Amino acid sequence: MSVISMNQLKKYYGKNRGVECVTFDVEEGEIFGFIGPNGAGKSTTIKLLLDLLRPDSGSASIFGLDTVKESSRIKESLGYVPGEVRYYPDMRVGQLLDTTLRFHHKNPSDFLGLRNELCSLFDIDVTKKFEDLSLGNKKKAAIAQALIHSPRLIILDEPTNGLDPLIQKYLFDYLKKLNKSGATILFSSHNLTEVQANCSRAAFIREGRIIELEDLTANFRKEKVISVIFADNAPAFILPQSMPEASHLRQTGENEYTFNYKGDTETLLSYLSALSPVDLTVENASLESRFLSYYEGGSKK
Amino acid sequence: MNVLRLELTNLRKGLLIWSSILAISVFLFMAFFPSMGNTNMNDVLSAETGAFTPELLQAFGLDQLPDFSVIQEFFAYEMQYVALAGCVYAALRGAGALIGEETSGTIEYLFAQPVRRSNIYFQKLAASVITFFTYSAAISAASFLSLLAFKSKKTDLTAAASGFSKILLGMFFSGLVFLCVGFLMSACLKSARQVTASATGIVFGTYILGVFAKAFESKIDGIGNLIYFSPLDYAMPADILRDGFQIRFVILGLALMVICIGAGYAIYLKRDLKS
Repeated sequence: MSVISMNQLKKYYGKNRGVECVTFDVEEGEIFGFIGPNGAGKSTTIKLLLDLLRPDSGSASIFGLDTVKESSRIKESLGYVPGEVRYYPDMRVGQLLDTTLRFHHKNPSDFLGLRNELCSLFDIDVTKKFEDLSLGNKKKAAIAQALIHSPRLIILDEPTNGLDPLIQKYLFDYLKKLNKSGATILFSSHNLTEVQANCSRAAFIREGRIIELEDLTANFRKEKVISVIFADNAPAFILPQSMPEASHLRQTGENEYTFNYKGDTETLLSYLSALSPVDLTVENASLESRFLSYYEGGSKK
Repeated sequence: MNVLRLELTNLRKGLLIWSSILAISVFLFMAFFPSMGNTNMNDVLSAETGAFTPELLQAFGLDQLPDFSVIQEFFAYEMQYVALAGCVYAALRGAGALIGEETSGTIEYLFAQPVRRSNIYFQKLAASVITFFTYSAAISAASFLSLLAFKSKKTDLTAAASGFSKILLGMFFSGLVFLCVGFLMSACLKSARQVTASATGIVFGTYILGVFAKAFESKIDGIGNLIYFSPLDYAMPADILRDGFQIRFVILGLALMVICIGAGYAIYLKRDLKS
């Protein structure tokens, strides 16, 4: 069952593109990564889901409820960590957590255990005012306020931005724990290692369009990145139609090419040996190599 | 009521500053009444203002020279300036209510909570009205305290209290109109940086229209109708004291409030909340 469903979302800010066409689903119980370079449309997509922005066309639903018409009901079960944390400067962290619980019609005194657990885990001082907090501490407080009411869906916009590596580890350990107990998680990130390590699937967005949905579990591990160098006088290399398992060809040097390959090694080697390459490298595909293939001018086959 | 509570908390500091400064100003200005309360001062003022053109007298609210030996008339003269300041506060309060959260970015927190846009709109409106009411209550308290402190022996306390009440109520009414106009502006503005200029501009701009309307109504046909664009003139202290509330201005003010709140609501429900 899809917890989040987006259907051809389009949003322009005047003449400037926010997102052009965003369509993907996040299934219940997934940890889903949302990847793209700056300005690709990640935050716009998240703000459309939160009904901060209204789409020009297309629609989205969360828990089967329309994000525009039933936004308030959706947020009863949603925790959100903004990319840039800007809360009320005069407010203390403890007040923010209590206010969040009151918004969810919950009595703060019933959640003291969870509050203490989160504050202890992320090393949060609840007596501090937001105007006195560093970027990282603001982010930790934002994470705590998103989790304090035990939401079924957690949306995080670049959650590790500003966090030290230890807190990043605690965060993902805690998110995985919540995920095991049924929470669905969507987070956007530039950090491909953390997406690869923690997500079951990821969506790549480029210039406002979803260009690939990637299974990061079994299928992804089968994929290899092939780098091949030919002699100076060799003709331009192209991927043959007879090898559909090869994709994302890009030229990385004068006679150097890289592509992704999911098929059997024997077929690949017999094809390449006929072209007499001077060098050949085979690596397991990483999300980084996939990212580069999408955003470094690589053309999808 | 969480938005209301949050908003009231955020508005506390501004309320305290505006209320304190203007309440103290009212009290200190009224402290001049005992020295104004002799008839010689009235003669001096009449002689001095006799040289002014009618337009200039109008601009200073002296077209019908008050009797400064009567405390409520002295108060009415003083309060036209306090009312102007109060309307600036009300307009600022209204204009900053919605857009302020967007520019500061706190709207992202508010909108992650299970609360409807309509609730945010009306709870913010309620918070602004409560804040302005509290401000008006502080001004009223300072006014009545000054009445008791500086009244003369010949002051008719009942008449003075009645006059004070009408003036203060009128001031609250004009302020509410500006608050609602400000609220509509808040739903339309693109940044909180535009709030101060827009709010003070609308108050002083309409005030000047009112001055023109009164100063030149006998000289230029139709210019007197500009008075309807000046909410301050719907309940100008001296006019209220002399003639009481005029039903046409009350209806116009109420209609303006309803239109601004309705239009602001329609715009806010549809707009993108940028942070």
